[in-house]
Amino acid sequence: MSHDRVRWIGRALIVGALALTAADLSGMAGAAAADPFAALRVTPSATRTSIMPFDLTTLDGRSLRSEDLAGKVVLLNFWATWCGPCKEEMPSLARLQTRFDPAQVQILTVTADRHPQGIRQFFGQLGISLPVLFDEDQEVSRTFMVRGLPTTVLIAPDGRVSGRAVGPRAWDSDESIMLVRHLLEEHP
Amino acid sequence: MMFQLSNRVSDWMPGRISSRVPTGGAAWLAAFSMLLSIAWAGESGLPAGLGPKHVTVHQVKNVVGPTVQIDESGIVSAAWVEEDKEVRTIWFARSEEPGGPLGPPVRINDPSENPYYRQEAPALVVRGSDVFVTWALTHPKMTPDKPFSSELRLSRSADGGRTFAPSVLVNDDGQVINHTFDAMQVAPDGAVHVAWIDGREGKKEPGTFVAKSGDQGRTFTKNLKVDENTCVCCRTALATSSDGVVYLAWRKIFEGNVREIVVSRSVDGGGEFSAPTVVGQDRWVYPACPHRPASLGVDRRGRLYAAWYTEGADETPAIYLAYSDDQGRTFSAKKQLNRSKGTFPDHPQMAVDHEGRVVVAWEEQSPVRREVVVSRSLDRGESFSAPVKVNEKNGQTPTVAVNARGSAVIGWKEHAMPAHRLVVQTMQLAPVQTTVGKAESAHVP
Repeated sequence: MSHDRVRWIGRALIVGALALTAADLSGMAGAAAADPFAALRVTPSATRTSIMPFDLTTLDGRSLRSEDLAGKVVLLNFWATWCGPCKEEMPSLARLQTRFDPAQVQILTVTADRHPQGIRQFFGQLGISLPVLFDEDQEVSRTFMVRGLPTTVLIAPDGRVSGRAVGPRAWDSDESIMLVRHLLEEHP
Repeated sequence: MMFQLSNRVSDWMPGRISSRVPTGGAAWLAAFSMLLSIAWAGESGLPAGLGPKHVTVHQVKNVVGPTVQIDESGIVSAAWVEEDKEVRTIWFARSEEPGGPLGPPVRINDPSENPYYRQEAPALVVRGSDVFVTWALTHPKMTPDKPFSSELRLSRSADGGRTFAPSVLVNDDGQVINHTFDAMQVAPDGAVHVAWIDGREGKKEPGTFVAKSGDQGRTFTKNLKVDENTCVCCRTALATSSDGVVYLAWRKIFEGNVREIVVSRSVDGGGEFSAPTVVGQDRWVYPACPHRPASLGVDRRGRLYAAWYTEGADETPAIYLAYSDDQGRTFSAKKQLNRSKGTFPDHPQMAVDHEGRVVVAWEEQSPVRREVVVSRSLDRGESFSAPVKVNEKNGQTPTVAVNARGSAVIGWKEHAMPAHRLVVQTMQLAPVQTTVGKAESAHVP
């Protein structure tokens, strides 16, 4: 994030706070909602390109195709078993999923690691039931230009990339929920 | 399953192509596409000295690697990992003639050993008839509550890779955690140095550890922690100088999630390591796992070279090289090697010969293509040739080695559905050029 953007966000928050002198926490949330991407440090997509079709195998051996996701807000979380920050943020992704109907919002995890048994155990320990997709040759990772892990790509219901977060986030935070709602409202 | 495609291109000149006839329709297709690619590459102006390209096709689920070596007579060696039907195997192969092709593969791990899957090739060093390979074994004491755990093992062959002795354990902590992202180097005195990353201290960030074997890999010394706050996923790198200095590089996390490549040295054969020195002052703030290692090399005069990936303060992916003439205490200004246009550079690997001739290979990535490019320096890293593409199919994970005679080998993996291809290609470096009066930014043709 550039310094200009940080300054802009800072100013926006200060202005918002001054304007709402009697504001309560919901008022603050309203200020953040003015730029829900910035509130969660998600870089919005400038081009909003359509995703390239993919077909990946899930942990339980099923096929999941990108067209199966049409009409949903999708969070595509790229991670690896050796990536500490990835594993740390995983429970918050699972909690975010519980806040939304999977028919409207779908959180998918994508990994190039071939550790199905270990991943089952890891998810089982944490009580996580998010879908795991195997991108063994990192083809999908490359089409999304994933350069580090974790990277979470946000896809709007129209199949276009809305933004991306590089690094872990508190995905069950108010800011995250607001961002997902924003994406849903943008594409009712 | 592996079969061989071999394509010899004398002096790498268009119109002077001879190829052995491969077997099978897929192989013909592969060869045809290779010829097309050769024509393309020839037009782009490959640097002189590129030798035959040798391809092995692997009809397996996945391949990780290769890591390559080249000995003083030009014999090429490679190690890699294959996964097929949930069985993972560490393989070694060696050419019977200088420059390749690779001979029949030899299994390194015992069938009872289950290699831990990782996105890193085994580390490989060949010294005469001694072959050393480090790799990760799925931890024998792995439990459901510790599902991602591995031991670091070393396998050794004393007969040029025809047979391998049972692997030995390198890490001494006994903890059921990951011990990986390893590097290995054999010093002039024959000592085997190994470095890796593990989180045995239970801190948020893991540490960089080393161990040494003075008996050709049969046993290892007590593990030594060199530093902490190590980036968990960027592989370590090792190099040794002709006077026995051991250099170690890794990516360190500084305050504010700043990721810098650092170098430490040992002047007592691995007994102690110096405090790390930042190489490039990149100031790359990255709150995630870059998964991109540095690469080290040393020439006869003791110049230490480092090549690495960073996005710097302006978040622009780039490949850099810097060198040190004072044993890693200070480094030269970094030199950008990539000239990417519409692609992102990635995963640089470097080899340096005694004379200071440098070969660097890396990836250039786009959403739909992954190329392997090579650049070289004949003047101790002062100037570099324009990067040249060497792959045919989508290429990745390049690796490079060079011998004392300036014969280099480049290895990489290509993914050509439904098979994987491992490619090795040699490159004879021209004599060293003088650097007197040469502009620092100059590029040799």
